[in-house]
Amino acid sequence: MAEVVVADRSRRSRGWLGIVLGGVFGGFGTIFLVLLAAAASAAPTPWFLVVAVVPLVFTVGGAVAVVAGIRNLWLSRVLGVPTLVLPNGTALSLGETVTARFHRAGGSRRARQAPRLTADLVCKEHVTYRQGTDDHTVTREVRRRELAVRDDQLPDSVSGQVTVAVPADVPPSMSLRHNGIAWSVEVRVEVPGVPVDTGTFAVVVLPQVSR
Amino acid sequence: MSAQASVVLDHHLAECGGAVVGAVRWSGNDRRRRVGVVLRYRTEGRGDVDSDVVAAVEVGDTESGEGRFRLDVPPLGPVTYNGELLRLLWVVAVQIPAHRSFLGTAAEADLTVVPRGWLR
Repeated sequence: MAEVVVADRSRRSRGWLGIVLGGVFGGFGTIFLVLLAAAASAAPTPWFLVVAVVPLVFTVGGAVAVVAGIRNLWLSRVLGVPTLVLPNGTALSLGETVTARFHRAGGSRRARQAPRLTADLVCKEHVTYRQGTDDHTVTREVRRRELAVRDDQLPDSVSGQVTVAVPADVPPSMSLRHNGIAWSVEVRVEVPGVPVDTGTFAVVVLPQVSR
Repeated sequence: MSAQASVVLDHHLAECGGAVVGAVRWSGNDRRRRVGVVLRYRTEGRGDVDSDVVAAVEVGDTESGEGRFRLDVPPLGPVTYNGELLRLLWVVAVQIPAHRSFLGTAAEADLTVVPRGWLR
């Protein structure tokens, strides 16, 4: 099987999601607040202060989401896109060990100075249940195993080799309608003076033991 | 009288991509309904239930009888699991009449499904 390149662009996605949702909810909250203020100035009553709490929450929450979204987009630009190259695809067997290449493309020059790489193999259970008309999802990390990482130590570069070793005695991936087990490789990049960057790459652990 | 049945598995451990083999015996099937054996899983725990019948076979429609069956376990599982938020259980069930739902279950036997290559 050919090698597979997995890029973690979730930070950028989260950024846009925060800006859009924050803009919509914050915008509605602000418009409602303005209309409320106009009505209050025409006919002042203390009840307006009570009513104003709801749109105020939307406005503040929306503003926080927009700021967080902008920060995520900025970080995505500063840090670049974490990428993992798996030699035989994202499907791994129990007990299998593969060496994956990690690198971070783009980003500022400062974010590439003396990086320190660490990595973990993470297993999470996730379940969905319906309560009334709402679906709720609960996720719990059930296993975390540190992986060996060798920095390439190339100048002006964030890259290294990650040894992805899947234990033989762990549950394989499972994907049912309401219940599942998901595996991922998390690579953490620490650069002095720059926010820590964690790239998350989904892998599938097959229900078969490596020969 | 309602039909009665029993099921005995040759092994209570099966690999993904392998097979479950066993014997079934039934009686009291006065209406001569079809007797079926199914392999199914079911989740328990905090999430809503997932269940599926992955293999089924009919073994007869006589008033009483016995027979052997073989049911294939899917290569991709899922495997038996006992976690923090969820559990996944497998059973072999005798259905009278033969049906892919949980209705008409006359007998059950627990089964553990493990990854392929686990038993070597």
